[in-house]
Amino acid sequence: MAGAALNIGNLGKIEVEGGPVKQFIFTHFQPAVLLAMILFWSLAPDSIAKASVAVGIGIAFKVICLGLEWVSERHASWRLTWKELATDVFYVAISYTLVKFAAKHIGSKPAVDAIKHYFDIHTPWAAHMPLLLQALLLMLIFDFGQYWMHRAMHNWYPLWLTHAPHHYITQMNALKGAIGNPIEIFLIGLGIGGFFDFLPRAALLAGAVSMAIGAYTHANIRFNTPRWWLYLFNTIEHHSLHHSQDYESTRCNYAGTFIFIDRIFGTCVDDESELVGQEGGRRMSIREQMLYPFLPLIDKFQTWRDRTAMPVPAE
Amino acid sequence: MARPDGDAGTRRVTGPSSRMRLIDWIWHVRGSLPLDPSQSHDDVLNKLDVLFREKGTSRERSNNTLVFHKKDPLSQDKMATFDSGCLQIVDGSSGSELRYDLRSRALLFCFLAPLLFLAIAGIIESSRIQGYVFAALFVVLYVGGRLLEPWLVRSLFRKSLSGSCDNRVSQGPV
Repeated sequence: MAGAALNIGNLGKIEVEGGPVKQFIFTHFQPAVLLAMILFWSLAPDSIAKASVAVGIGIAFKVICLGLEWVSERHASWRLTWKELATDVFYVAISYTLVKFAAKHIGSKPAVDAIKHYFDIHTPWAAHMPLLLQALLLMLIFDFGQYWMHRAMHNWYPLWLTHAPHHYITQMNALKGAIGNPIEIFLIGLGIGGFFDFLPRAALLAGAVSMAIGAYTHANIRFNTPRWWLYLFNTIEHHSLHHSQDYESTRCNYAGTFIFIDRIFGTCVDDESELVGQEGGRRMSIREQMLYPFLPLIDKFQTWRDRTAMPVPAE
Repeated sequence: MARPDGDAGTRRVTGPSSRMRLIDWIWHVRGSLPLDPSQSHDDVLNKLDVLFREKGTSRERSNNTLVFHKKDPLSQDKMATFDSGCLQIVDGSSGSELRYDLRSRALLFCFLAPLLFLAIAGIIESSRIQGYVFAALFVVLYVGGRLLEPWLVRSLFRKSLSGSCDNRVSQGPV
């Protein structure tokens, strides 16, 4: 078997429990969905291949993943509760409203459009490439940028302040990717793919393929993931290790979609963790998540206020 | 129904004023369970005490009352929905019963969240549909939580008292 030659370390230890039908479904589900997404967005007529349909598929797929968590649970200690679901939905809602609004007005797209307009940059050749290649390039450009942004967040304190709240989740679930300070969600969404005039359909295909690969990275689902998939793509195995409780183990597996980028730069660790979180697994409240990047400033202000409020001793 | 106030030694699960009662059901869960007459107060509280030996939970006990507070409880804590509360054993004419009054900021948050997203829908033109959808979703989440959580906590107390409660998940991964 060709896949056996791929070195994927300690991965593949946790296997699906159940009968042959369940085994079959949870072995082939991920590649089948990926293939279905490629075929749909390559072949669908323009009347169907619209952004609104992509949003609908994205929401439906999140619901399906939440359902799969019940059918093939990875860890009982990650089981979704009402409170966790309510918290997760709140962050998803913030992403779909406030963060989306900020990205539209001060994100990378308006910045790239302004630069292209100012320097009169045009790349019509990009749209003449095969559709799948356009989508692949878009994904690689975005994931390469996300890799370095994410790596910087783990290695530069001001950026870590924005990203740290995401690491205070104490269990993994399908919507946990949205949990974090909105500043971080905004920063991690920046990309320079807009410099190339790819077809809108290529952007939709790239989004769908990214979803079909990345949707499981926070999900409490047990799959018999193929070895080639574990070698190429980011998975719950890689990402749970990235969320493990000891800080040093979090400094690996940075890529959002393509784990081979980590392999190229020597930051890939093929292992996984059940115990996730920071500070021994302290769960951060929504209020603290929102304030966390500003805590050093708040501390400085309070120190200054306490010092100025101190009574001056009489001489 | 029930409301805790004061320290554990003097605290009583007493009835709130009727005006407050019209409002605080939003984030309060109250209820009662009949107790086995063969169990002493200490036996009952010892069995329930196990539920509060979780990270971020502090508790006080007197002879018939247990009062708890939680700060940032783990997701795996089976009582994580409730931030504080009072459990009290009350002797009545038909025997002893456990009365409880639990407060949940999560329920209050879900109750208020639709207002936030309705405001966003009103202010940001491009987020109108999303704002309405998420406002509606939080209404559903609140109703679901308000029905589900009292049922779950009652079941948890009942299982703890009968000695059939499985705390393995609440301990988290090992």
